[in-house]
Amino acid sequence: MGKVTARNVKLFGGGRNLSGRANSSTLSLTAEATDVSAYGTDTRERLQDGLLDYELSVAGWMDVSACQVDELFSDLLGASARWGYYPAGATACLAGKEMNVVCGDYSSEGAVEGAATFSATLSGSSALFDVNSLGYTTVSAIGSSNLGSVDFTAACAHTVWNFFRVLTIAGSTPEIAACIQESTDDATFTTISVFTAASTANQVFAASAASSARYRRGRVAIAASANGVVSPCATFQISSGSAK
Amino acid sequence: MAKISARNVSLGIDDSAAACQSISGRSNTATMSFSAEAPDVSAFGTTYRERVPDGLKDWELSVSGLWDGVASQIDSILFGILGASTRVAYGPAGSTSGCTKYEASAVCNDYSVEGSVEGAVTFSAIFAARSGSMTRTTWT
Repeated sequence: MGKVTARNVKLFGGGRNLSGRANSSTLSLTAEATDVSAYGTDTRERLQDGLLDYELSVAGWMDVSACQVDELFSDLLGASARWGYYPAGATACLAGKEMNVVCGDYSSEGAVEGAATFSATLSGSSALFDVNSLGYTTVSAIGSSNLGSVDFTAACAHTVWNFFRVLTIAGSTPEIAACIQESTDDATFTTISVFTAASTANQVFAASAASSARYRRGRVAIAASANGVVSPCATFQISSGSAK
Repeated sequence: MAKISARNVSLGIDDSAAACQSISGRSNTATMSFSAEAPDVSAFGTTYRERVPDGLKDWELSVSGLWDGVASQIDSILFGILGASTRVAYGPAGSTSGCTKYEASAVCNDYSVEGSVEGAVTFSAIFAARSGSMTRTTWT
């Protein structure tokens, strides 16, 4: 992989794509390393395997429209939500982090000569997940489709976490469903996680599953929920990985 | 010795499988800071501060550079050793035979990924002393 431009960073706040409003982000991971130096030591000594923590800082342009930045952070202040951070973008194979965070700081700023801006700080509230995107795309036809597979290399049995984010959904009463499948040979796939069909946008779902195969892919389906469906269209993102 | 260009700095860290990985090709800033406690023992009547030598030593290695999310590259290495024991090797003048080499057991206790829309995605990491002394030898 070449060096990575930051212009494609993808930030998902819950089931919303905030990238179009953000222009600066920092994910900071820390680990306690308790000082255990005692008499007689020459150089400080510290313990390994201390408490891990992380913080996501985001800044950008304010938007007070429905479902946008201001509404999102106002609702989130003090509450927990699942966020996704993909430094190189969220198309298939690209690395990212999924996390549960609490928004502890949200600021709206405006100076007379400039644009209104926002900044927010989100602190980790549980494990951080090291993931690869399985796809970030739009589907617009009734039926099922498979996303391309991603090679996770490690083939040992372990618990994986899968994430399904419904960003937009349009048309008359459509539903979008997804599942995660795995394969040992990149040819024959079996389902390891099934997500409940969603009929509204701005949602994110997570599910754990046992996995022992090196290839994983997403499979999505759009169906009519009640009275048939007209012009269905849904944008979604799927990722899979494991907890730190 | 002539003045030294920093473009050849050598940086190696052990990944989560204890395999030494060179991160020089992704890094563009490195700072090794050494410190030593020197307790102040000034008392009434002294004109100048007095300090005791031979205090506890410490060091910290700060590294930053260009982020890479591909398997086995910088994100995978640093995320994998966050909070864990590792070894660091630092060569301010490079790693050719005879160049100075600092090496020690360390804990990576800080790892950040940062992106501003007009720039490249960058990383920074801090390694702190874990156990034993920092050794100063030469690359072979």
